[in-house]
Amino acid sequence: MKQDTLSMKWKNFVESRKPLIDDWKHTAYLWRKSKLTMIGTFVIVAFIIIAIFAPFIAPYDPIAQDLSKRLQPPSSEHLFGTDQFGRDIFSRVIYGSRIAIQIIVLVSIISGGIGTLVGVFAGYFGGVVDEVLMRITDMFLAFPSLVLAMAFAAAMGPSLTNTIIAISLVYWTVYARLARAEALRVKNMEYIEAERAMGASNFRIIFSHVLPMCISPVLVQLTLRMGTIILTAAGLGFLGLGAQPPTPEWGAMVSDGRNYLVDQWWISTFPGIAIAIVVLGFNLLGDGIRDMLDPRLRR
Amino acid sequence: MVTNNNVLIEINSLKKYFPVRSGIFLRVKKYVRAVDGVDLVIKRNETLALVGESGCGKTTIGRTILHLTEPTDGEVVFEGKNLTNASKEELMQLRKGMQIVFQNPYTSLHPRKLVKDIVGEPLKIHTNLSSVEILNKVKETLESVGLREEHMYRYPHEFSGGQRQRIAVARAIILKPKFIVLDEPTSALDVSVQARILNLLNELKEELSLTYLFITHDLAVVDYMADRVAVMYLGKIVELGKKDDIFSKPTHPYTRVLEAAIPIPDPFFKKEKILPKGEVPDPANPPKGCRFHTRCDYSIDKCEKVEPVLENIEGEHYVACHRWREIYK
Amino acid sequence: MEVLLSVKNLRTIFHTYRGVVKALNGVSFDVYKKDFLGIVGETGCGKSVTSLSIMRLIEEPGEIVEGSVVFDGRDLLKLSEEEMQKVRAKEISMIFQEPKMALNPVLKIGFQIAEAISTAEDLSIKSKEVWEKVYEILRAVGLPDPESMAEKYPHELSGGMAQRIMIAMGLVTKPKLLIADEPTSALDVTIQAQILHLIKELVSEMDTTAMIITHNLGIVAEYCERVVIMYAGNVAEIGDVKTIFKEPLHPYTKGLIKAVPVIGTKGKLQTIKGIVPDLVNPPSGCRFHPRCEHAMDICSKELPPIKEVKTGHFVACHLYN
Repeated sequence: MKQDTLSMKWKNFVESRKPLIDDWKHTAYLWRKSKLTMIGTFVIVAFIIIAIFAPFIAPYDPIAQDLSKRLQPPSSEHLFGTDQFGRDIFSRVIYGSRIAIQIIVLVSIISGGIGTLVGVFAGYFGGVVDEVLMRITDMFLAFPSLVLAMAFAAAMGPSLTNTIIAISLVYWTVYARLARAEALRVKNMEYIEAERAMGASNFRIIFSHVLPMCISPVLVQLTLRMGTIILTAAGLGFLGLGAQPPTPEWGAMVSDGRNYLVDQWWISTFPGIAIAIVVLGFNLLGDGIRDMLDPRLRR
Repeated sequence: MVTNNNVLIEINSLKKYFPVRSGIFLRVKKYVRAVDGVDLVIKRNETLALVGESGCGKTTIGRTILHLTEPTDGEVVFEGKNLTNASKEELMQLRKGMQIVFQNPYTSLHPRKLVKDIVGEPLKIHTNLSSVEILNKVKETLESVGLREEHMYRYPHEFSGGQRQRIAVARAIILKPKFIVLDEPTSALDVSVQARILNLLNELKEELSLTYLFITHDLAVVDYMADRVAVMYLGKIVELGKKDDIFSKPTHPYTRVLEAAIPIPDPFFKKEKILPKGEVPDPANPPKGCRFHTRCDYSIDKCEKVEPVLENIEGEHYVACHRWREIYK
Repeated sequence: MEVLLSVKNLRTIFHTYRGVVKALNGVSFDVYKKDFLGIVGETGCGKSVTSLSIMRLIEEPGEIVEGSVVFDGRDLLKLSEEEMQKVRAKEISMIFQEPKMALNPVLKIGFQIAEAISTAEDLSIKSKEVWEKVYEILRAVGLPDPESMAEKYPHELSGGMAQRIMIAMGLVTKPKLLIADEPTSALDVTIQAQILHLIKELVSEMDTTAMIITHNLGIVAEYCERVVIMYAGNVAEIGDVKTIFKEPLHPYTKGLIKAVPVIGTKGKLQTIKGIVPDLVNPPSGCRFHPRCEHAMDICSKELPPIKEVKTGHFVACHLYN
């Protein structure tokens, strides 16, 4: 009897995953058909690998100053040259990827999480709940996002943590609106009505039926926004409102090289190129994911 | 009314108005009277068909009985218990006894859930069975609606319309309810599939001694499935009776128009040639008097002023028409 | 009888992730002048694909790979896109299931009808002649007060009214053929009866030809004169409606007719065993053979050709070879 129960559970486990695998195969097929998505994926994968293995790739300590070697042009010794404190720019760009990833991941989790929850509750309950939550969202949306992020960062004091909080507070509204729209659509579907006919509680309906449907548009939007998050973080860093020196944050590094741009172009250029490539990679990947999840293309 | 053991559900002067908001301040300007004073009794083990065109309120009645929408007025009594003022716990208990199968099997099943989870959901809500017990129950139930064990681990989109409707039926019967609302269960299906679902529903009714409220606009299906028929027009019941009464002696002019309008798949069938007049009026602003008088060939002055009530013709045959005595033969 | 449209061996496929969907597998039938023809079949039988193929409206990932569609002496599949556009504007009209989707939501309906006339007849859209025709056709499709009707936007119309407008747009150019793809499936039964009557009346008044695509055998029985029965991308049977309902020959036709409840059906409804095949991997030979009670060896090997068994009664089944 015990054996039987176990084998049934095992079968349930294996069989439940088969359709998921089929789904992945289909996604992989669509992925292979789009060159730009593939390029985007490679860029982002490379970016992640570089971030993980930064200590092994970077030849120098990113914050170690060596004033005897300041402002050296790119050479075989210092691939991207050195800055005004003699720090190796190549190592700083490599380590900068870690900062960027940290920002992206934390901002996505915080803003995606808050946004989805707010949106789902607003959309599902409607009425007063919806009015209150959405008017708060509108208040956030009324300001240009960079200005708002600057205001938050300035008010809380410049630091990496505060940058992350500031950007999250700006971007959750996007996901809230998306999740609300999806929740509004889903809550009127017959399968939700069937759920209510069974006597399921609102809690159960929201978390096990409405929420899963709202997550995929939010996820697509999150990947599409990752480029913007980097740009915003770099912008804050550039203005001195983000990560503080000597943290190798790309935006701050571009800012560092401002005064030397004419004669020592490499200080600003290489972190700038890094920002451009990663933002482009995220945008290509985001577009690709949106297309792959488009139900019209999936059948 | 006298509580009768034969009666499963009793609906008393049920009303459901939906507010229509308009203007800048979204004030409630008017109400759509989806159901406007309906009395109905559903007996144990019968199939009662509710017939009418879209917007006549037939679906709203089904949903109000299941308490999916709160009635504006009136009451629904299920097995002697009044649903309209039941507590949350009582309602939960009553819900086990009644279920619904929706019209469109493409939207009534959650697209991201496996069949085993869709069909097992009522058990998860209402029982404390272990996951393995639920799996066994799901398997049994799927087999009773003509599906196989391997179908448990698939998503709804992998099934045809007929198979999806079987899944929806399985979900409805897994708790062994007494009463099921069938909301146009076959109108989204092909004819050869429709026949099999109808046969399945009839078999299950026998096997589990179910009671059906069959909501449809297809009179041929009504004739095949129903014991009694209620014809609705703009929120009111206009004719009610045993199936044979309705089909051999249709009395309300609307019933006759409806019967004439349904295309019969038999080129040799001779039937009355009545071409329906006009369109269904706006339910937010129904005509005064008899609601059908704007489209009725028998309309007289009285019809425009006085609203007719359901009158007994004979036996269980009722009609709401001022001129039924002239029409009834 | 004079043939207006002759479809021969039409093959249309769709390229999808799962493989090639063989939607039409050599469809052949004729439409005569002044015909009122029904094309009937279940979901996926190819009835809509047939009409879209005739109109050359098959889009990527679909493709017409073989066959000919001879209309009034010309093969439509060989025309240039420009010539085909003229055929669509003037000679063949089409009415769709969802009338509101086919109307432009931001243009007044009078303007939309006027546009159809002006492109078909090369007249200025502002000319009096065009607008007289607009009012005339609105009156003809039973819409009271055509002048104010022409000033309305599509969202102000009910489903029945919108379908009347579509019929007006379809017939105002006096086409030689009207194709109606499930024209009443989205409408209520009483409105359905009105619309079908209207189509039938106008088509016979204008001496033109109509092809009604439907899944409803009742509509065929009540309104059509001849019927083409399709199954899984093939024509199963063709004949006049009374003959088909009285003496169906193809086992599928027989099963289909018995599966529909008629008022007064006694006993259990008969059903056809099995399910509609997947058209990526359709059964070999006759596509109906896995569900057929009379299947023989040859049925799984060879596709039965369509044969005239009696005058005007065609069937594609090895039982009648």
